Amino acid sequence: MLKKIRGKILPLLLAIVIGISLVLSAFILINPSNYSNANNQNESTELRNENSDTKIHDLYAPTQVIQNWSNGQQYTLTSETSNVINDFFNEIKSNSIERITAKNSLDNNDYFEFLKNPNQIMLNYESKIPFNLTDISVNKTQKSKAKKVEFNRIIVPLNNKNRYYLLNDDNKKVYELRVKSLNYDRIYQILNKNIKRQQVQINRLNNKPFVYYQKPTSMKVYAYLLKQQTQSFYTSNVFGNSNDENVKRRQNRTIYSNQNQILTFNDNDIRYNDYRVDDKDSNYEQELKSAYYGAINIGVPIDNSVFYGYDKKNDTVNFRNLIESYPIFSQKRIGTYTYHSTKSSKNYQFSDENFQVPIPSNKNNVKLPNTNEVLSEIAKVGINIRDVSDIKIGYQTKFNKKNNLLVSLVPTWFINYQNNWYNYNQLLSLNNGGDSNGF
Amino acid sequence: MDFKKIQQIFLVAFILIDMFLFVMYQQNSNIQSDNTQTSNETVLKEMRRVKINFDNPSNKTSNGYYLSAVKNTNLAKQVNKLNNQQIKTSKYEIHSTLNQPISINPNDPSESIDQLLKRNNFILDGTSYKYNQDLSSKSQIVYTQKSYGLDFFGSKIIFNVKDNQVTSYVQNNLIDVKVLKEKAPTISAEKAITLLYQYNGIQDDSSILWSRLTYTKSLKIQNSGVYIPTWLIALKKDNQVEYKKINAFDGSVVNTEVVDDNYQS
Repeated sequence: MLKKIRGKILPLLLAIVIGISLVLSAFILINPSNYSNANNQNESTELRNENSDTKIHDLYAPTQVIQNWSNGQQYTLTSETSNVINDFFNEIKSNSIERITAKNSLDNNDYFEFLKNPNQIMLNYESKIPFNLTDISVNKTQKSKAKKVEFNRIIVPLNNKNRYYLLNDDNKKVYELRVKSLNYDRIYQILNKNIKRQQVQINRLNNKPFVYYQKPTSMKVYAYLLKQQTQSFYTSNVFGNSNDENVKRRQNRTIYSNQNQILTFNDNDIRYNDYRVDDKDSNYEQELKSAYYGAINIGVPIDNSVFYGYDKKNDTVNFRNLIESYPIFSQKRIGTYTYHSTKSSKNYQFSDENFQVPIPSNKNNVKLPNTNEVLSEIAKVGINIRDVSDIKIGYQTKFNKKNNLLVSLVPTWFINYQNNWYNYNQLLSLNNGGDSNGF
Repeated sequence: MDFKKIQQIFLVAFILIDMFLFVMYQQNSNIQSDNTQTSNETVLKEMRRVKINFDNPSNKTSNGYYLSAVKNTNLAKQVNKLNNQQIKTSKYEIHSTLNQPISINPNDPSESIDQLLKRNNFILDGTSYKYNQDLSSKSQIVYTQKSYGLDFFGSKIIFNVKDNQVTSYVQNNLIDVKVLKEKAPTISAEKAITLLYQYNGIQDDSSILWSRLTYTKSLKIQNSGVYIPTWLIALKKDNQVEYKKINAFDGSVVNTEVVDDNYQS
């Protein structure tokens, strides 16, 4: 009997060591570190950006939140102490999308009614964005459908936890997104925080959805200390440390250039034209991505910036700084960044000054008239309302006379007239030979 | 060659193969852990290598505000209602000597002092302050003024202690605290410490005693200060303690900047 066992030991041992070698081989082969290098090529996560912590989805974010009550009244929501838009959006996007359904395009009237449905929250973007530029989680099976979606509004009904909607003003398309369950407790918690509500109504302006402020509104004045960035910061980001670029100085302008890059400093205005276009923007999504990556590489300060509209006519992508969810407008274009690409070049414009630290302002609140009053006053001075594409509350920079790094932000109305933004007073004096330079 | 010998040869061969595979597997695991190690962890490893002592800092991030506040300069009037102490006030400070020293428990000094602070004729605005163990020592119990979940590093009550008794205190106070901007994310302690090291702010052979998120003054503008969440990092070398400050919003070093003494907004 013993002999039988002894006879079997050797084959048994052999089987064991072969088994071990198979197991170890398997472990080594499926070890993820063998694949990690391949993944590092993916530009959307691994781009080295020491200049900014802003991710692409932070830049392409909603800029307004409106709550519709059950009685049909509509209110914009803002807060001095917290970014209400982010609070809502973070809550909503944490729910993974289980199913995306494209509904039939609505007709004009139905689309407008959808925006006014009672008992819902709406997040608005300035212009449509591709779904890919958000960080809304999506189940694998829906990813290919999601890629095709472009939207500029998110509507979250407060009476159905399993779904919310993406809307596209351009083609009146509606996408229904099914989720497991929205956390209404959290949403109501945000709604009940320290929030300022202003009554509005969404109606038409030139047949487009438009937010009318129903009542005059009292707004806080802010103040900031500005920071001015050095030219060498930008030249080293753009040209590297090669030092072989050409420098031309003319009055207030300094122009650095080489064969295919031109960096122009004109007072506080900076323009960069990049002719090394080996990957021109083939579509809208690519254009928006280039705007982001360009800003990161050049060092444009975008930490407090947000996508503020795509200008179809001039094919430019615009970004602005927001304060308390309101856009900041500045003659010197502080906090404004634009990107424009052509077949042969990528072009960037921004300011060398940026909002650094908020400082206390001793100014009293400013009272602004309601939208209807703004419309009637500008009509009185001969402005054709058909040439007005948008009217918004925003903040105007006003420089301290003694110290030009100190700036007040004064609330006022801004009107987009003939494709340029003007502040209210400016527009009223426009036809009387006033300043015709928009923002 | 009979079958048995073949099996023996294969056995030896596979044992050698297994040993080789095992070594490869170990190596692979090491590479993998190196790849997932963050740059922060790499810096911390380097710090330990140059003999900097510290407890592993937290990598939790948080939120904070830009605040404005004004130094209370109305102290002389406000101390009228305080009793059982001899008080002298300067522009920004209350210096008080207690008529009767108050005993405290040396193992838990806040126990007795918290009760005292609730009496509004003992200390001005006492309940706005909380015990700050990091800044306290045997001879000085420090309370800092509370603010939006944190505290103001520079606004404190320092209780002087002798023989387990509080004999006197010095106090300053901030008023008109306002939020200047909506809250924004703050970096973790781990990030702040690694940045400080990279700025050459931590010497070899030293110790990090503690790190704490607190509001410090980043800007002085007329009679207001702008305060930001700051990582206060206490360093000790050769028995000398030093505080370093890292801006918890952007990781830069904090130096209080005086902007404009004549600023009219």
